[in-house]
Amino acid sequence: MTHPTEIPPSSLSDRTLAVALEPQAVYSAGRYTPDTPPQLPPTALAPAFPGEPVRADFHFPTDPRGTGDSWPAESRLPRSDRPARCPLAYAWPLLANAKVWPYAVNGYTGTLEPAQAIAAVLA
Amino acid sequence: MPDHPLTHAIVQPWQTAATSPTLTAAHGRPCLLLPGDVHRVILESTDQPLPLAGGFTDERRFDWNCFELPASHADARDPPADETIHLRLFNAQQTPQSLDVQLTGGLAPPRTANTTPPDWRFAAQAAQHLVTDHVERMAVLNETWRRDEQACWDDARDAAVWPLKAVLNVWCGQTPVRSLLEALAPRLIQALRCLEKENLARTTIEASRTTFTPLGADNTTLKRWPCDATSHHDTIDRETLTRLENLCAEQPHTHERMPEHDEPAPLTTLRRLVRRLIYSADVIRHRPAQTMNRASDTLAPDRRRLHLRRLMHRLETHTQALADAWPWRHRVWSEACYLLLLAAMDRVQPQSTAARSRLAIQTHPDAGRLISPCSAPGRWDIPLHDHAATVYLVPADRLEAYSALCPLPHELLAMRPDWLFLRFDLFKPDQPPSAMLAGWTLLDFDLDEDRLTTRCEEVNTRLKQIRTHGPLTAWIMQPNVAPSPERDDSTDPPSPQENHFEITPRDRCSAIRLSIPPQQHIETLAESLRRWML
Repeated sequence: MTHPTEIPPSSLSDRTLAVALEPQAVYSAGRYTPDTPPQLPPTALAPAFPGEPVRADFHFPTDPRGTGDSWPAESRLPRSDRPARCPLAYAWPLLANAKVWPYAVNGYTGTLEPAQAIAAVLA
Repeated sequence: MPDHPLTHAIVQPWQTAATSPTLTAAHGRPCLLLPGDVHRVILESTDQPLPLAGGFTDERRFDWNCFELPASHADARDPPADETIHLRLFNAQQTPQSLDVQLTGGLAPPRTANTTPPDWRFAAQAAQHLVTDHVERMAVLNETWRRDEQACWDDARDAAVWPLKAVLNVWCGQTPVRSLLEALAPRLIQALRCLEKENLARTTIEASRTTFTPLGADNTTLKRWPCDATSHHDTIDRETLTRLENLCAEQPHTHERMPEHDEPAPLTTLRRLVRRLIYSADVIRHRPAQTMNRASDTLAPDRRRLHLRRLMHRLETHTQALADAWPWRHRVWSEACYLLLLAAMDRVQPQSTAARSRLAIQTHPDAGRLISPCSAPGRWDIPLHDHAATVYLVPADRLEAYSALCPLPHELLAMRPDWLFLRFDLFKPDQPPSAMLAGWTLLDFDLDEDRLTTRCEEVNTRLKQIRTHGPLTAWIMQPNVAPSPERDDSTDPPSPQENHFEITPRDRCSAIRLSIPPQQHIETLAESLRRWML
């Protein structure tokens, strides 16, 4: 985690490509106002139970699922599997290499097809 | 199980109170302490398990399990009502043992109006309004999830999963929620009228073919067509109509705000239609599909009956949920206060990770609770004057799970608060919480004696013994429906416009009395939470 004072606001908007889910970066960039929720790198949220659709997440504040936060339980990162949050930027190479995104959330494990993730974000 | 379990069973009059060697529960929110190897307690009247509030080890290293008790289980007639409930205890060897617990000082349903003292009647009406309103609002979410793209259904939990914002929009809605029967009345009327027309037409056709045998003089006798695999449908519509009539008859009682002369038009139409159909034998008849000539005649009636049965199933499930929630009204109050806190935090910070969280709303209440215990909101990031704070709200059901991740004081967990606010420094998330606010909810109107001050003193004393990194404070939230002394006619029920919110700070523990419905106190509570965060 980077302290906000070490990140000049211009670097975030001009050169940063990293996924920044923590609000510190958003606060430090001076872009967080209640009326204009800042954009985040688009991500697909995998279902946590059978029947839940794949959802897209690209606004701050984020959906808590798979953010790496300590609470609630669905935010936590599983030790062995991947989180239930698949970045769109990673879904394309997965699709090209015919691979899937195995994940775990709240004790539920599943596999997210990259095409599903892309479709959910682009819809 | 050490010695004999019955000698170790203790009923606490209130969750954090000192133990008292009695099997009588009174006032507030009683719970039952049992030896640690009793892991299941069944309420004999409903055959349902009591919710396990938690376990703890006392200073003598004895393990205990704490079970919540219902406020009542039967229709008591005279308040304050005394009832005895019969319990079955199960230990690891599955050997059931019996235990009787007496519940005293309970509210009776408000229909026993004539002999009830006014204060008790006001309290009972307020409690029933709370339960009905809460269950109806949650039913709206369960009924409308298909129409919203953000909602979905969880089969495993039998629950509709909604974003927190949507849940709060329904819960905070200012307009009174229509009852499910009222909402479904137009569709029920349409389905019943279709069946009525179809049966009248069929009677005419069959009479012209001379295959129709008129009913006897006794109109209550059912006319049965030749039996086949589907002939069990012959009588289901009469049962359905009778059940529907019963639901209509219960409606004014269930909804005190809706007396019969003021009830909406669809409900009146439905009531009259059902009564007419009940005494008209024609609509009861159903001809088996194989004996019909045209496909259009055979398929449509079955679909209509299926539609009617589905509507009835929804209505009956909902009516059962209302009935099941009444004995557990203190848990309904607890859940309503939890939603009130979520709504207040949403006013403090409308854009948050918590607002993106999702709550599962169950179809059947789990001992009064309709929000699934697996649901927990995310965090609120609050910009303050010179810094920023992260706030979590952890409900009682998730405290142990949270404690496994971020240790909380054992003494605080043993007090079993209904919810816990934790405030962290946004830029120092690895540090212990800079402040904690624990809360208890009690659906106790303190009609015979004001016990709130005593309770606050008791919590205050216990909180002082807990060492924490930051300040640890507490709230106790109780309802207030006592009629104001200025009211001329003391027999009037409390007006819904009455907005009473009183917070009395006492050292670490503050007493909060608020009028029902709790939705009217969102702004006031948000202001109190802002002050706590600063």
